[in-house]
Amino acid sequence: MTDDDARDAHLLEDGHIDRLLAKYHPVILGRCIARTNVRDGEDVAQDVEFRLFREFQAGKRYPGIPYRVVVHNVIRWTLAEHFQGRATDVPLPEGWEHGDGGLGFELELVDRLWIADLVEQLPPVERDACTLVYIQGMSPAQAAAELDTTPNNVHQRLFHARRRLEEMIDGDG
Amino acid sequence: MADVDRLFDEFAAAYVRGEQPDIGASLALAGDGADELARLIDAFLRVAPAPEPRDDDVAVMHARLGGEPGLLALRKRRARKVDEVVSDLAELLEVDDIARLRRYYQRLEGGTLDPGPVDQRVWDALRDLFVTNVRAIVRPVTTPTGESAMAYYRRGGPPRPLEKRSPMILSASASEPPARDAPERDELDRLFLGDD
Repeated sequence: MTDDDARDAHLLEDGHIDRLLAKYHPVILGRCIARTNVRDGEDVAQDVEFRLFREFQAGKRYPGIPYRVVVHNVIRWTLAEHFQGRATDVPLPEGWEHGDGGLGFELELVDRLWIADLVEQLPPVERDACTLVYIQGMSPAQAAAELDTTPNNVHQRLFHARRRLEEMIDGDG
Repeated sequence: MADVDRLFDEFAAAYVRGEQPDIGASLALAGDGADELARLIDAFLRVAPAPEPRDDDVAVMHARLGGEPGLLALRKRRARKVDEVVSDLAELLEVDDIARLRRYYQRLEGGTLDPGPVDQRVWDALRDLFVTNVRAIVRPVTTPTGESAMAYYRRGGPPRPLEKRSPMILSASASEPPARDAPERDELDRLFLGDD
């Protein structure tokens, strides 16, 4: 293990997965794009990073294995899945398991993109409030600061926007 | 091949300096040598030590892992309002329609605009504004488990250009559905949506 590997191990031990993934982000993104193309590479890189994140959240640790080795293996497996279009049969090390991506995300994403499209059609003040709160995830208070207005005003804009979105959704149905 | 060698040297030097070089731009510049350049970069990244991340990089990754758009997190770190960024962007891109530029920027920042077709001039301008490779930060919306929305953007066909004025949805006649034909793209649309 190099000094760099030892630093990585400490970061992992201390729970600094965001710092570790930020460190390896250029490696992951660069390799995934180099092995595919920009669009696919960005998708695969994101899969790699969230796969590593899920493994970390699930309590996976890799005693004796430098984290850079883990990163390059996960890149390899994820690229294999990408090219084969199915789950890879490359065996994971002992104690590892494939991340469960689930299928519920598909509906959630379609919903979010559909809502984003509808929000675009709102009047500007309502659209801006909706974009900040419903799409970017700000609290009404944060959105109020961003829009130079009061939280109460943001709540009112969201109320009117919801009414308008309901009418638009009913119209689409 | 000389170009490939030069582009690789530039990429490697920028990487070692921790600058997060734009590999897509390098490959585009390589033309017919793109495959060779990609092989060199892949081999280099397999062995080169990962540079220590900057605090900005950590904050952006922290945000992304939490489901927040990375560019939004970066802008908040810089304590900049959307209007300030859009104003600077308008100047750099020589755009007059601030309202429509603001909406495009917000969609890009919020992850509801496919970054793929966005013109290199926009990325260059954003790099000037945020002093980092914004192209490597912007990603479409994701779920908490990180699945990419790219496929859904592509499945839905090309996005429609933004209307120059907001449509008055509620004033439209109930018996007459709004027109579905996309308006023709102008220069601002092409900056964010490409030519297709």
